[in-house]
Amino acid sequence: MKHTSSQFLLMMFLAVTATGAGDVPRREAPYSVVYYGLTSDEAQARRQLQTVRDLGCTGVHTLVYWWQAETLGGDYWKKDYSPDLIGENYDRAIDHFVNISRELGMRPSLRLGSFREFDGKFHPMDDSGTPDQYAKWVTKLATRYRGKIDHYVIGDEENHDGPGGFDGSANAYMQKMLVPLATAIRKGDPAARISICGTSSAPATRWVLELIDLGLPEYADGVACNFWHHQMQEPVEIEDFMKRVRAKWPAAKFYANGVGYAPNRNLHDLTQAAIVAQSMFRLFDLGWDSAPYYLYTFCTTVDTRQNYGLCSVPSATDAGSFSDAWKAYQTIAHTFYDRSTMKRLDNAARLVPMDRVQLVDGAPLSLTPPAPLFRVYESGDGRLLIYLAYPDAAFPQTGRWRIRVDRRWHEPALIEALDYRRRTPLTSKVVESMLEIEDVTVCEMPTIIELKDRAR
Amino acid sequence: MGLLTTTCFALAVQGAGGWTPVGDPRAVTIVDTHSVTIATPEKATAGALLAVSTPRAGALLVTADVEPCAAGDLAFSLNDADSGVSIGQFRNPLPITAKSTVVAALSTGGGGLMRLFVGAHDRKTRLVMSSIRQCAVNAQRVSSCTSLGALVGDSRVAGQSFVAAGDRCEAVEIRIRQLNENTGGPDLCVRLFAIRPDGAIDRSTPLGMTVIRRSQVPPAEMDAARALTIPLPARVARGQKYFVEFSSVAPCDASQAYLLLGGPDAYPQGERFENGNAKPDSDLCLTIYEAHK
Repeated sequence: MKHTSSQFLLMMFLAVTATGAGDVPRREAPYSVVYYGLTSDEAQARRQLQTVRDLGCTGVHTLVYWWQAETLGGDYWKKDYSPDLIGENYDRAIDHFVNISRELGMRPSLRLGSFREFDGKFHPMDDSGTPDQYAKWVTKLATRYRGKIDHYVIGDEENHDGPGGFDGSANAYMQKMLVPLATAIRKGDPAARISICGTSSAPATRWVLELIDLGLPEYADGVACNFWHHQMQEPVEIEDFMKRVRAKWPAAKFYANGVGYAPNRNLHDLTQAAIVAQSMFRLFDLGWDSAPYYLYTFCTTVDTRQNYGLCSVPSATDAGSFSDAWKAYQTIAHTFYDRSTMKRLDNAARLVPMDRVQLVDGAPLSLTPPAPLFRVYESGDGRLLIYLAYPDAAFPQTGRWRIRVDRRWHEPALIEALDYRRRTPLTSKVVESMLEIEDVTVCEMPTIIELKDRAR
Repeated sequence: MGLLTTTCFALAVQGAGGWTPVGDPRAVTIVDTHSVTIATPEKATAGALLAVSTPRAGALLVTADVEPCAAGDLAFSLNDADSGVSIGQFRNPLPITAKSTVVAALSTGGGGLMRLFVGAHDRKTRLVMSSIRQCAVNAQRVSSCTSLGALVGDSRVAGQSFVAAGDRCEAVEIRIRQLNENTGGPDLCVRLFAIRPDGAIDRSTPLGMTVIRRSQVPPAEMDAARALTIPLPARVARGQKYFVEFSSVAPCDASQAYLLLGGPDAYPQGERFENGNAKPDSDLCLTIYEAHK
């Protein structure tokens, strides 16, 4: 049975959205956002999370704090928070986040607060400095959402020293946070997946390996890193980290907790979009399980002076606005859709530089910049997807290439970087028994080409 | 992370008949074996080509003194002689605002007979290059990690010790950017010292020294600490320990600092230094380019 690509995406979408309160089907891809929009207003929560769903996310990640859920009689919160996000209203906001995310086919994940927010205390009203009371609330949380949370991340950047004499060692983190809180989560939800904190100065390989040696796999399912975009350009360090973690712990999951942060000053909209797209593709390609990008954070671009990251979310009176970066992320998420249905086929295509400089002796010479990131995937629905980009977006290069593919594939089309639904046909001809796509421009914004299988 | 070292032997570069012009002959002036001038009144490709024989898995270090030009005007490219495809390439990412020595380490891929191009590709420009020199080197990678930062300036001096794997240090490559935007401030000084058998740094005479203009260091605006290759020619003894130091040429305040990237310990034979104190848990993101006799 033949399906067009749009039919395939529609089927996938329906399969995902039709499940409702049941288990959310697992799409193997890391697309997620860090969601700061918790609200007890159900309609607003739905509008915001629909935005995340439209982006193409498989998951959505938010931060939860004991001191917002239970005040323990304190009024510390009045300084910074409205009653809408305290006590029962806060519980309701988390309910909306979890339930609506799942209705929309996304897997919610939670990051648990740390002792770092209140100068060494887990709660401003709890002077004990121990996680004992905190663990009881964590068990309540895990019980309330049993079977509904994709994974819990315990703390943030505890590989650095912190208040209350915390020395940032692997052992201190295990004792003070990971073991008591992982135990508390499993008490409420025995099947819950658990991750260490996103590491600072990620990947912090030595610290993570030490945790594994200290028995991490007994309490957790994965590791997390807080990455910066520049680490995606040459991911040798990330690849080394994954290899070494897997050598000790083959089943480990990889969660990039808060990936990205495109440079946040003075860059052009399209450069920001290219960086976001490259980061998300890289983590898809490397096999990460989750990679929440900051949905809204400060980022002032030269072109539109946006003071947000990917978008301003819609409200009852505002349709929201969506940056080029949001659109570029959307293209990656909707194109490289599910790793479990895709196969790497890099040998299926070959690059030939377009330019030829005329030399006196007739010998060939090309000055096309070498080595763009070049990936070829066969999708599960009879398409070949080719991805090309020069990784250093801050100092862009441009190259023009011919691409030769087996004649099994035909009808090459460019998937527009900022509109994943749009296709622009590309010119091709048969050369040396191969299909040659002519004059493909490669720059920092990913060039994505789709071909169809003649046999389908 | 273990030692990441690529080693090559019997490195040799042989010019074959000297430079030959590429593109419109009126746009290219080959002054002598070390000087080439390009003038392209419209966008065009023009330059000079030299046949070179390169070893496997090394790099060709290309050095030239370049008069001011716009970002991207200067291109060095190492091309496979048979297919003509570019194997390694450099374009100046930042404008050259005053005559500067530009160094680029071009990957030699599988090695063999290649062609070195110096000039402009598809640019309208005027390029004046002198003291052009090329040298086959091996690349000793101390660390490629970029997860930690080290500051230079505001009385902070950064450094890294390493053990020489060749007979002559030619250049070092770091990941660096200016810490803040538009601060101005002093240039960057890079010096090479020997380490005495007792472990102390021999500061009596630097073996090599280079000053890098601040304008050559990537700006903070792009938030991108970029690879910068710095010429640092000095004779070294294979197996001996050395220290490369990064400082500002004059006192500056904290806002004018440079940020070097690095990571956790990846290189057992050396360590990162901060104000003369060893930090054995970390290394700078650093590659040493060395030549053999």
